[in-house]
Amino acid sequence: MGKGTEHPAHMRGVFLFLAHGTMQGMADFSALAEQIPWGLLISAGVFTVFWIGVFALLYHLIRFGIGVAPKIASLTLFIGALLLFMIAIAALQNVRLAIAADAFTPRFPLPDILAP
Amino acid sequence: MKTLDALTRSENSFEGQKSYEKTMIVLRRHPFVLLVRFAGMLFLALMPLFLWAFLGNLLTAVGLRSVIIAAAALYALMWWYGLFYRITMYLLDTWIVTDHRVIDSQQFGLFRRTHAELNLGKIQDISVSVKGGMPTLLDYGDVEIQTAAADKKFLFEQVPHPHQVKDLIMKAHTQYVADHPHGKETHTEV
Repeated sequence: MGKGTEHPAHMRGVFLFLAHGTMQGMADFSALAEQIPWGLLISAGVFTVFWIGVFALLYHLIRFGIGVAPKIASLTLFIGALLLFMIAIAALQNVRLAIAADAFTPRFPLPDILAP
Repeated sequence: MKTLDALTRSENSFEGQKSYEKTMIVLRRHPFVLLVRFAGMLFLALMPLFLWAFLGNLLTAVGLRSVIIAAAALYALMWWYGLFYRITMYLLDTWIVTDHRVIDSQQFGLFRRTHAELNLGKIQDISVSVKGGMPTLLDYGDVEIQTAAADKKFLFEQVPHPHQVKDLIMKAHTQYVADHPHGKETHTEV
């Protein structure tokens, strides 16, 4: 079909069906996404990576370290990691996700300054 | 307290040490080298404070204060890990001089480690190189040990008091040759 050619009538139904399916799919996905605790999942991921990393460092320091310095370093690392972990947990408990989400939600009608 | 002795005293024992072998010195790079590596970490530590100074009021006004505090806590976790990653790499780059051999143990990342050793009897020549203003001022530099094999060299990088280290290795070499006249080990493993 050339430029500016009308689509046949039966194609209109196909487009509508696809558009409706896509919109429905997006709505379903949106509803599903709202139910997933993203904050919790991201925090759990960060904590898991952090503790695996800390374990690897402690393992290397204890196994291969020679002298007093690696022992002091491993103790400091462990105590610091534990304290920061507890602080992070406490900070995450205080997060008001609803307020945060609200801050990013666009308001309609748009303020005058943003109106075309 | 006896339980805390491990944090104040050490025999400098290491994996693979022979029962008759005595550690004479354990060397690492000069602490100034670690300090230079910390400069980037200091910048990363101060960055959130600068951001807060400029954007703190705005973020509080839009109700993101608790989110920013939580993000800062997660950032602090990552920063702490990064800091100790650097410290660990520094502490695990070691050169050990015992009364029988010289050991070069290097750590490159978490999963790559090289370990080389040289019998004291095979040392042919030791040279010291101190290059630059800071190394001269703080007395640190490289000690290079040339072995009987033409291409094999041992390099102690940026170690403190390189001249004293050279003298100590030469002394250990002389003693080793005197104790092992035909290069054969006289001690037996217990």
